[in-house]
Amino acid sequence: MMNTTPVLEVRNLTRIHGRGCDLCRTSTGDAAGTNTCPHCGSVVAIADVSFDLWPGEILGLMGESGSGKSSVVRLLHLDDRPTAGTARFQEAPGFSHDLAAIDEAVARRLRDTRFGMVHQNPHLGLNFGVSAGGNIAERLLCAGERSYAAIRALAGGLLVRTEIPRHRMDHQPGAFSGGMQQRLQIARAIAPSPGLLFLDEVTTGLDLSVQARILDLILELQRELGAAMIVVSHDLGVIRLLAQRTLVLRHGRVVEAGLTDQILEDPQHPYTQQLVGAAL
Amino acid sequence: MTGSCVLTVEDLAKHFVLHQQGRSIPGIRGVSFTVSAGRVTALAGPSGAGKSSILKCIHRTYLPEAGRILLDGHAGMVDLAHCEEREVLLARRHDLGFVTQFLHCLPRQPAVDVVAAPLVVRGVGSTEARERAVLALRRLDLPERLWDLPPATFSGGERQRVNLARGLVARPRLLLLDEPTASLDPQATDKAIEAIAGLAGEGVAILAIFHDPDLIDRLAQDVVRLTRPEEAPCAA
Repeated sequence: MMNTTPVLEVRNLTRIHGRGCDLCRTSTGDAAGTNTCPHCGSVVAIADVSFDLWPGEILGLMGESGSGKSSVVRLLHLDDRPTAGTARFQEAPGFSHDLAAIDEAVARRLRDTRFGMVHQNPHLGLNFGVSAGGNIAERLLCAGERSYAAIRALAGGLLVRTEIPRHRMDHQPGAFSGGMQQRLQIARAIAPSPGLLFLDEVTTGLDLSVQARILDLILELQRELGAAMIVVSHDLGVIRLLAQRTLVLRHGRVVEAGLTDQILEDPQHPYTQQLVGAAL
Repeated sequence: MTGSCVLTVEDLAKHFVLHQQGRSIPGIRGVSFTVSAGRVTALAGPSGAGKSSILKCIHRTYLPEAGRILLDGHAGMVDLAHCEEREVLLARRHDLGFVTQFLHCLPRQPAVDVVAAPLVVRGVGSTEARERAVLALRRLDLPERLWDLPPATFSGGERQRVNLARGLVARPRLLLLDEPTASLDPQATDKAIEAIAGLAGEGVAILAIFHDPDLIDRLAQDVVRLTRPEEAPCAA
């Protein structure tokens, strides 16, 4: 179990929307209480975010909306490019990429085969114009699977694995409940057995029993796939159940990082104390 | 292995800063003791003396502020007060068990799987893990009809037995117990004591807080006595 290289080494990741100026970083952030640079009006979505993610680990990102959680995920999933910083992704032992400086062809291959993404909004993660089976097949096709029989069998297996009855395979996602749509997103995301999975507020807005089923499924899959995961949530209960370590973000900066139980029971930063103290 | 020192706590200190209230709460200071393999060490003292805080510092649920917490783990000596989070996670997986008064588990998981979980994360096969979980549940006298139900619906005493079984099953080098028998009836308490003593007999080092002083007499070979921080004879 003693893997010595992280899957992901993120250093000083920074994303500034706007033209930016020399004073952007120093005049925004937690101490300044804002994301917007008072000198040039640029928005500093995140600045100087650094962390390691180890194989098989689940890392939580926690913070209020606008704190930069989703910006981190967008940059690492290659949906956006940083203004500064590096993010080294280890695809295989001795073979790594800097996600901050990657060409589009490699980015597409990583998204198709090595990364999986589950969004809060199923409309972002699913194609509502094709069937449930088709949604999974698209991912498998992108990952290079060509045999129709193999795709159909794999898709059926993934549906069952995510607790969607196999006979719903030819139904479109619009006919599914909210919880089933999330489980279908998970099936689609894990189809190529990715090494890195991003989960962005995946249980937000679902009722509690549906939420429990999805969290449970995520942990089971994590054990089976051994994938590393980054879980974004403002729900402390979700973070407590899923993540071993957690970063707390505010105004685009990491204000506290630690073991999840330590963050929740012995928070150090005033903002984390406020956040944990306000939890129901 | 019996008798060898598994945990050395040196000059441990911890207080809590509450930023919103602009206050600081005293916790513990200058705490030093050792825990040996095959022995039950009890933390004794009035409530507020910081007994639970010490266990949480060792588990790193609390961030220690000063001192050293040396654990003789599977991969050598680690200082849990200062080592990287990743090393703490490895120690928790391989060397350290913590039975708190509250059972945190997944909503739908049957009791037997809750108990088997520490073995599964260590790589034990699921059949063997379940078999060992069943043994632990039987040892603590949890009725068999409950084994495949999620503990959410259990009584306090039943839940506590599940929690204790989970701590026992992994047979860690060091087991931390925070009032493991607080909500058990006398019969279940006897079973729990038997199981804890049995585990120590197998060479596990046990550091425990007991709500009942009588239990200290019955179980502990070593006692660490604590006083409330404001009573501690030290300079302000």
